[in-house]
Amino acid sequence: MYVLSMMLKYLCAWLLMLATLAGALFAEGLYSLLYGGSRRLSQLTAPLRTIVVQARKPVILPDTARFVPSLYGPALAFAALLPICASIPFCTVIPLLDNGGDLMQIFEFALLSEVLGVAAVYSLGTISGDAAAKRFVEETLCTMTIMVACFASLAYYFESAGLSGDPFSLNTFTTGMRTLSVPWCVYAGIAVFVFLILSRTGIHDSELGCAIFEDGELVAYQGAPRAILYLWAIFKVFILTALVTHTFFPWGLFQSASASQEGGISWRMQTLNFVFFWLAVVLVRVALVPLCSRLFDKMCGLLPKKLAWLPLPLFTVAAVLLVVYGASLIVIE
Amino acid sequence: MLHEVATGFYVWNVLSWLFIFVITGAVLCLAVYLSVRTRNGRIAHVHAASESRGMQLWDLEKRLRGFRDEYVRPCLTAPHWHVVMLAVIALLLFAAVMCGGTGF
Repeated sequence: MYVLSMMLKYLCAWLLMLATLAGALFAEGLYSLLYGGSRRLSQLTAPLRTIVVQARKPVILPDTARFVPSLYGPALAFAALLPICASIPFCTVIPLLDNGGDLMQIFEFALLSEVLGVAAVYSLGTISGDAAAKRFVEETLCTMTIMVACFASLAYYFESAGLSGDPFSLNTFTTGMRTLSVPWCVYAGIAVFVFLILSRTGIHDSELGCAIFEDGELVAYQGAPRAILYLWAIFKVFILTALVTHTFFPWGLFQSASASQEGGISWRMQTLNFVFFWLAVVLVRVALVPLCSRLFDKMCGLLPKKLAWLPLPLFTVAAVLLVVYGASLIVIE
Repeated sequence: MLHEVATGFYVWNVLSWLFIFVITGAVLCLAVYLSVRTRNGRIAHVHAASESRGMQLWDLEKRLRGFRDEYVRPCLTAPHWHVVMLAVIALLLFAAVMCGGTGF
């Protein structure tokens, strides 16, 4: 009986992951429908068709490639994203495989996925492969530094505000955002963090959605591994978007009134919450991610080339200071 | 945390994450393997000699030597090398505390 229930749990986890993957592909299709040249509804399935066409091509690798990492690296990189997906509560309040959505585990699997993805590209042994891998590493470091700064400073704020709970748990952050009255400076800090994270997703937004490689880059790398790498990029951005949205989503919006009336959890209202959560994730992916990334690029473009690196650390430090200032206000009170 | 580790909950939780990773990874690797096998019977090659960087991923000795010459030596000979070392130690301590806190 115990084994059966465990198997059912895993089956549910995989079903949820497949549903999330479908959601990611839908969001990507919607993106290409809205921003691409064509307004035909068939654009909704454009990313899926690209993946299928690429996967059906014969596998081609450069002569200099190491076969094993460049062939199987993308598959393992994609697989490492799935445990992260299972830890974000997409459909119920409780994640399927969780320790309260442990941020350290999420961070470790994200790192593993990135390392495997970078190794796959790097092991192609070409100059353009090296350049692409170097770009991946830089973008990953930027995103992860901002995320660590965001969650660490927010944890400090929640602790100062007297919220008890595991500071590494994703649920602690959602509870904190829902139950505590947050001062303006913390909201401002969060807004800056969200702007920075969404602008540095590590993906170049093109008219056809997220493109992991630039035009004409790595043409000597074709077939199923490249298709999986493309899917990996789509899924990665969607999960990152979902993680940010989940943390700052107003969860109490449809719950408080009915919960007090019925004296417990209202499943109808909770379902409504999750429907709006999914809509918010798709909206953020389709509208906010390209907006933030274009705004950030324009901002960097206004500065001299030597100083183009400056806005990222500057904004990160400013956001940390804003959140810490909010915490110090509470301590003083 | 200690209680969780003692009762095996935490270990089981980590194992279940790894289980999902390993099973999905194996299925996808098999799909790639079959895709390679069923296409041409072998992997197609594209001549990319002009793009070759002349060094492979696992050429560890060369890479480590390059890393030492490019990063470690300049750090140790720089005027503020102790600041760099302090930052490295702080980073290691931070990692240790983070990992210790989660039971890894």
